Amino acid sequence: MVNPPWLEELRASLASQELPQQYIERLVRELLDHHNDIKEESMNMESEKNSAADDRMGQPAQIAEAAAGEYHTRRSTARKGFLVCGWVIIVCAILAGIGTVPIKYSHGSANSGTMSVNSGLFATTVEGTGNFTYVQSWSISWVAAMICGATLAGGILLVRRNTAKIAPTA
Amino acid sequence: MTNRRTNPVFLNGVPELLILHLLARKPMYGYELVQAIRTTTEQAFEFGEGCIYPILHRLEADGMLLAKTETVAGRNRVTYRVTENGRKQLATSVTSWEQVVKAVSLVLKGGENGQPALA
Repeated sequence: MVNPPWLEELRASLASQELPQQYIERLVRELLDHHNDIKEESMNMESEKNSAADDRMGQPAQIAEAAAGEYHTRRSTARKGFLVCGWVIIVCAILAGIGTVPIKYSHGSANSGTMSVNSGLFATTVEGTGNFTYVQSWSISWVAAMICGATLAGGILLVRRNTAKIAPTA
Repeated sequence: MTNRRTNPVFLNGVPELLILHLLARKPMYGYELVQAIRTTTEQAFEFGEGCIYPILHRLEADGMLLAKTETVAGRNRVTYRVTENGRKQLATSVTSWEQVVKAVSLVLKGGENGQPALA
């Protein structure tokens, strides 16, 4: 079957919208099917069928614009989300680095007897005898690391969701 | 070619609502879906039928629809069905739509009894 001029015009319009070739192919295939279905409804001459189908499908430039609008909006959302996530991860990573300081400097003081504090990134041991107090502030490093991880996971999900491939179908 | 509007001045979200509602009844391919919209709305909306596909593809990418190539009446068709997420979205959209309709109806019915904001 010869492709109607409408389809060629549509192809050109879609190509000018910088859409991926794979998506253009899928869109064109579905639109051509639709165009043929409309023609099959009609008992008219071939040229009249084409004209009626062209009219019902809508103007190629407008369809291409709608397709590009939907496609690029999703890409833009993903890009913005990715940038925001990137910045949050960088800030959290810096905070996580700074946050190790309170652990290293957590301390205690012996009112009577002796005590020793061994602080580490993963564990802190306090040993002593007699009466002593020990103070350790909750390190922000873990909070920052958790935010960092959650943001990374959220960012990956957001990007995957917004860049999900539309073409081809299963 | 006449200058048919490809993307008419639909209210925001209305095409998505119609598409999800009709596809929730049964899976359909694009042409079938457009015919269903025309029939059920008694051709109230005039739109370029091609404009339905970018919306279908967006809903598919958003996980509201699932597209599958199937052979229907001897031809390969891309049929769309509503996913679980799509059904949830449909329920939310229907509720929102009913609220809008109710609110607008209240304004329209009570408009004549409304008090002017300034004396």
